[in-house]
Amino acid sequence: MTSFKPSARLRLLCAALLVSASVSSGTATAEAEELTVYSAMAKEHFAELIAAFQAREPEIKVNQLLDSNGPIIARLLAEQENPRADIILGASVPGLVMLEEKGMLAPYAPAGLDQIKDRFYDRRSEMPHWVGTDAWASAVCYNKTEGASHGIEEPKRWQDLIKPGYKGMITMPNPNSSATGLLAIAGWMKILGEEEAWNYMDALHENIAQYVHSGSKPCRMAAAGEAVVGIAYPAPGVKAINDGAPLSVVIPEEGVGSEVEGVAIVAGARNPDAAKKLADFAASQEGNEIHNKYYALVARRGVATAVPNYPEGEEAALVDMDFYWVAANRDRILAEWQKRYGTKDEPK
Amino acid sequence: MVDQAPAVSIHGPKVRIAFSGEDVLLRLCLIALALFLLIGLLLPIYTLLSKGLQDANGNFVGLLNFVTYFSEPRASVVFWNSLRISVLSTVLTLAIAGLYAFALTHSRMPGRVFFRAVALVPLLTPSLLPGIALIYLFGNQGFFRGALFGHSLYGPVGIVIGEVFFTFPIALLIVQTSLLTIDRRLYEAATALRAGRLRTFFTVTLPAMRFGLGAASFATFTKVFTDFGVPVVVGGSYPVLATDLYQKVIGGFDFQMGAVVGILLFIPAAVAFVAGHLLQRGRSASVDGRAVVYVPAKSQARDLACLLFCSVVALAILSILVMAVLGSLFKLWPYNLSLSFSSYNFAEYEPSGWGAYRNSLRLSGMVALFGTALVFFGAYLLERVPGASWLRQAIGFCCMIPLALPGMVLGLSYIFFFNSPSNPFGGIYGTIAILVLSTVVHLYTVPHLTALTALKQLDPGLEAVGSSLKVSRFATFGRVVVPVCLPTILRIASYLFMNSMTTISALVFLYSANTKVATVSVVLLNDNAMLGPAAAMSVLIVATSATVVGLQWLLMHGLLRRTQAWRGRES
Repeated sequence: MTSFKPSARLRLLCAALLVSASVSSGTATAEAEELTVYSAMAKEHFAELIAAFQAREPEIKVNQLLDSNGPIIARLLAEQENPRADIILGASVPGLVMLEEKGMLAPYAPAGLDQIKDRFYDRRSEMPHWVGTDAWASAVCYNKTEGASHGIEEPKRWQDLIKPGYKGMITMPNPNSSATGLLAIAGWMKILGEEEAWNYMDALHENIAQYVHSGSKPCRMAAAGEAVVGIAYPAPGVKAINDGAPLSVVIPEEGVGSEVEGVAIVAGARNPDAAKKLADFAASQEGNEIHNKYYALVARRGVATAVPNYPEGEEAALVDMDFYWVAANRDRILAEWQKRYGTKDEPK
Repeated sequence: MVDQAPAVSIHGPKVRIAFSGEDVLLRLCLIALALFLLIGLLLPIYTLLSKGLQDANGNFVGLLNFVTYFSEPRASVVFWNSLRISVLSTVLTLAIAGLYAFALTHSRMPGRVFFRAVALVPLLTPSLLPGIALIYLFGNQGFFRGALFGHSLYGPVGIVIGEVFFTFPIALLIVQTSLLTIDRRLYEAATALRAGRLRTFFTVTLPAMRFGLGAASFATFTKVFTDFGVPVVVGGSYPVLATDLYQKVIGGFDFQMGAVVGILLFIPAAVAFVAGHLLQRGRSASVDGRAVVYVPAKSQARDLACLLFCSVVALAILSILVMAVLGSLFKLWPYNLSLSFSSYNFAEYEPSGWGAYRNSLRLSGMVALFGTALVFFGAYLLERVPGASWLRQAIGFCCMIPLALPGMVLGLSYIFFFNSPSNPFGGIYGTIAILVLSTVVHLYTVPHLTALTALKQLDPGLEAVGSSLKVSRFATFGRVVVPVCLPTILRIASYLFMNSMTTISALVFLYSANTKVATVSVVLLNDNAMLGPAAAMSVLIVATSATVVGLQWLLMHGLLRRTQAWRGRES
């Protein structure tokens, strides 16, 4: 008789253990409104936006996933059949265009769309699939201390970077994972023409120390002296200067490719209402004032305050880019890039 | 030969004739275990393998994907890179670990306990940590960058140094075990036959180490070949298979090629697994009951040399650890080396902030809890319950597979399997449950073997006695088996906890917006060149695993005194 009790308990335990692995914590569908946000924004920018949004909508619980552009798009594609994200807050527009063409974005016109500059939203469809937040351009970060100790001058032009003195001093993001890397390449193609751009990259390749995973890494590596020059975009470099790193951010004279970063609601989102609220916020005056702390160029008309230590002359140097061309040619460019430069550092 | 040992205990207690409800329940538990392995291990692997043979639309294309992969000139470079660094790291690790093990077991140098403890430190660290510390030591701004003679850390140099650090304790433990089992009488015979020292080494010591060295080189090779943590930090643009897989899947969303690389990663591990089995089969027991444990003779010259060598190695290990701690405290490396805790303010650098660390604790706790219960009860079902022998053998074999399965391959196969909309278990994708499941499966084999060993030591008549007293098997399990095996259970739990804290490979594919864990956070921080916070998070992981090991040690001592008194009385 007495032996029955522990045995029943153990039976339960045994059954519970074997089942629990497949059940536990799959019960997140509570009443509180949730919002899953994927983002490829710069970290500080993203954090400030979310904090401001939560101050406005305290009852929404935000799950956030921040990574480079490539991984975010990869994840969205992997989850295509069964989307987990509600909204993409900041991904490069060519990536969003690709998602739109696969039918993965839900059209939505946020409040105040009439205040958004033309270049900053999807005008191909009746109702926009994405709305931009800010634009950014390629830039070169240069570490003054390390440059001086290696006897290298601050680069002024893209063509300076292929001089032999820079050998092994430059890092740039791998375009396969980073939109920043792809943007730099697309910019060179626009400025030099495609064939000349490949020749330029062949020469540049000789000077590259590392192709890195993320677009903000080159400027941070330059800021830490791990490299002298980083090809990236201004925001992380500006942040490093403000933190005290001996860095300068250069806009090359030939011009720079620019890219718009946008917000889009995922088709089949589980929390479409909360997603719409965030999309509205990103397009609002308050949201754009936050974008403007990190980027000189933002989507809403009339928001243009100077960013401290932001390189001058960015807007004048911008080369008009066609996102649809970039989206359509992305795979081809990446395949060619991989063929030419994918095996950097094979021991000589 | 060896295989027959468990067979005896399988048929041993087969005394029952009646088929009671309890038997049915035990069978059901066994079937449940089989289902667990089917869903957590076999089906995902099958999905991965079949993905490797399909095109993007799911049509069967045979080996075409492999042909495509290798027709890229880059692919074979990546493959050879992986092979090259694995061979080089294995040779270096074995040489160092072999000498170190020799010094620990065959010398009388002072401080052996200390040296043994230091050598195990890398077991507590995620494989990302050595890479981060190496950047501070030998990077372009590193304190000792001159020591690389102008070579860049980023690439093969950094990978090999990091891997040697990371795999050193694994090789050491295996070689040390084989050295400890050398029969002292062989040395006495050698001395009696007037063999010189060198000759004794080559005719006695080395042959005895042969199996250990073989096993250690397999273990080290597979570990290096499939490791992701070191190359992702210091690999620079030197591509190896693991980082290539990460880039293919995470960066380029090319799942077909990802599956191909995953299968390639699996091959050497599978070969090593089979070879290991064959080696073990050919090995008859070299230690019989009359063997005498070797006690090294006095020799000052040898002891001094050993002390010198071990000190250098221990210094290298400790300097990597200390460098990571210091690195996490620098204010703005390399321009402002004043110390502060600002790198530990993770929310400044990563949206998940300290949440990633809390997730890691939650994951490790759940793996330790569920994993230990599952592994131990599973081993009990396999070892001590009669009947259904073919099913048990099949399960026993499946339990060995995770040892050969690289974590990245497991993670990738989980994406394919659980994220398919037709999968009824798809609901766990993106939750912490999938992280727990993958980690339990990934770490299954070692604790399983530990549990089997402990259970084999119990008298096979235990259950028979129980049933003759009309006590259910479950009662015997709960009242006798579990208390007796408590030290083993504790060891399993701490092993699972520690390894869940430090593992990265499977999780890097499976984490989601609210289940990011600490090691993933280190990868992301490093991807963004935030070296200080990456070092800080790694240090936190090491501190946590060290605490758990310390706790386990204390508990063990307390428990041994209280529950294991019977062992003392027995002898």
